[in-house]
Amino acid sequence: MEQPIIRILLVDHQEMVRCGLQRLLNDTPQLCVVGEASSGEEAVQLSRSLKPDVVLMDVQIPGIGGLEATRRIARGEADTRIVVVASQVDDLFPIRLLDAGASGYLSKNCGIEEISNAICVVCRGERYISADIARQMALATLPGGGQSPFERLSQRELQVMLMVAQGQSVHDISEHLCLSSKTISTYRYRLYEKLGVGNDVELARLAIRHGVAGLAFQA
Amino acid sequence: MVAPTPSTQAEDNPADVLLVDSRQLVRAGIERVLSDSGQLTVSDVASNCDEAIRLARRQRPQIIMINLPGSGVEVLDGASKIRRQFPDIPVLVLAEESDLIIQERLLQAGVAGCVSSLCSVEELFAAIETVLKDERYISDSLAWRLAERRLPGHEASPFDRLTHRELQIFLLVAEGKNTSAIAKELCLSRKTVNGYRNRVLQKLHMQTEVELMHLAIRHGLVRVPGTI
Repeated sequence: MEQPIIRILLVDHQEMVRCGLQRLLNDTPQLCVVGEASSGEEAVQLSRSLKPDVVLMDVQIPGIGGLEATRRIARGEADTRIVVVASQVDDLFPIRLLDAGASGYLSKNCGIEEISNAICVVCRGERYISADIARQMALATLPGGGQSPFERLSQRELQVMLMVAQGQSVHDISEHLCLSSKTISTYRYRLYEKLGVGNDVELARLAIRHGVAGLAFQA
Repeated sequence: MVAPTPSTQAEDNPADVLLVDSRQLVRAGIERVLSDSGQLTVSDVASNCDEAIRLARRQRPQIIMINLPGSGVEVLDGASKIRRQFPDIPVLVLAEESDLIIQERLLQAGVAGCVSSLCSVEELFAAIETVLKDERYISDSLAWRLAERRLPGHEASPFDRLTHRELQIFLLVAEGKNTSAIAKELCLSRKTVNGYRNRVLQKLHMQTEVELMHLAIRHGLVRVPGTI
C-alpha cells in the first residue's frame, strides 16, 4: 500500500539548521521538504503559494515571529497543519500557540524520529504534543497552577511589585508611597514568597514575561 | 570577505569538529550539513561549554564550534573558559547578530572567529576553513560595525567602560542571579562579587539591579524567556 508523500515547509531562523534538517527529513521516504522560510512573513507567504501539508515552525524567528505566523497560516490555509518546534521549553507558549492553531508542539530537544512521527500524526488529523511539554501543560491545570501568580497579590503588593519591576529603589518606593523602608522591605519579601522568586531582578523578569510590567525605555 | 576556496586540506582526512549546542535537533541538523561536506566530521557534541571542556580533554578536536541559543552570557563565559583551557584549539562562535558587545568581547577573549548565527552555510564553511588555517575570521557585517564604533563622533557604548569581569557580572545580575549564585559560578567570594556589582552600578550610573536588567534587555544583551 503506497502512502502519499507529505509535503513540508521548513521554518527556522538558522540556514545551516534548515539545510541539515531538510536532508534528514528527506531521508524518510514519506517526507519531502518543498520549501524553506527564515522569517514569519516568508512562512506565511510560502504557505499560501506552496500549500504544504505541514509547516514545521520555529518560534523565535525574525519579523512577525512564530506565534503570529502560526495564527495567519492557520486562518488562511485550512488544509495545512502546523507543528511548532520551540527553542526552549516555556510554560507560556504551548497554550498560546495551540490556541493560535498549531496541531503539534515539540521542543528542539527532540530527535529527528520524533519530528517525523509528529508530522505523520498531525497529518492524520490528530494532535501531537511531546511528553515534556504535555507534562508541563498538565501541571498547569492543577489547582493554583494555571492562574497567573500575580492574581494572588493584594492591591498594595501589586503596586510595590510594579515599582520594583520598573527599577525603583526601596528608598524611592517608600517616599512615593509614604511608607517606611522597613514596610516596603516586608512587602518585597512577601512578594518573593508569593511569586516564588529570590530577588528583584527575578521578580521584574517574571512580571515582564507575564506581561504585567513592560520594559523601561528611558535613556 | 574570504571566498570559500576549494579545500586543499585532504578530503580523505576530514577535520574533527566539537559542536556545542544545547538542542538535540539543531545539533543533528548542523552535524549533517558539516559531515556532508566531506571536509569535516563532528567527532563529539556537547550541550554546554563545561561539557565541551571535558570532551575536548579526552579527544582533542581540531575546532570547537559554539552555537548556543539565548543570551550571550553563557557563550562569553564558556568560550573564555575553553580558550584558557585549550589555547591551541580554534574556537568559532555563532553569535546573535545584535549582540555586538558580546561578539567584540569574544574576539578580545581570543576566539578565532565570530559569525552571525543567521549566516549562510557558505559563510559558515568559509569561517571554519579560515580558522582551521590558524587565521581569524570576522564576518563583514561585524567588522563594519566594529570599525564604525571606532570612528570619531560615534557615541561610545556604555559598556565600553566595563572590564571583562565587570561585564560578566553585569550580565549575570541582569539574568536574575543573586550574589551567592554568581560567586559560586565564578569561584569568587560574595564580597568580591558585591564589589564588582557596586562598581558596575556606579560606572553605568544606575541605582538598582532591576535598572541594570532593563539596560541589558534594551541593548539585546539578555532576553526574557517567553517574550516575543
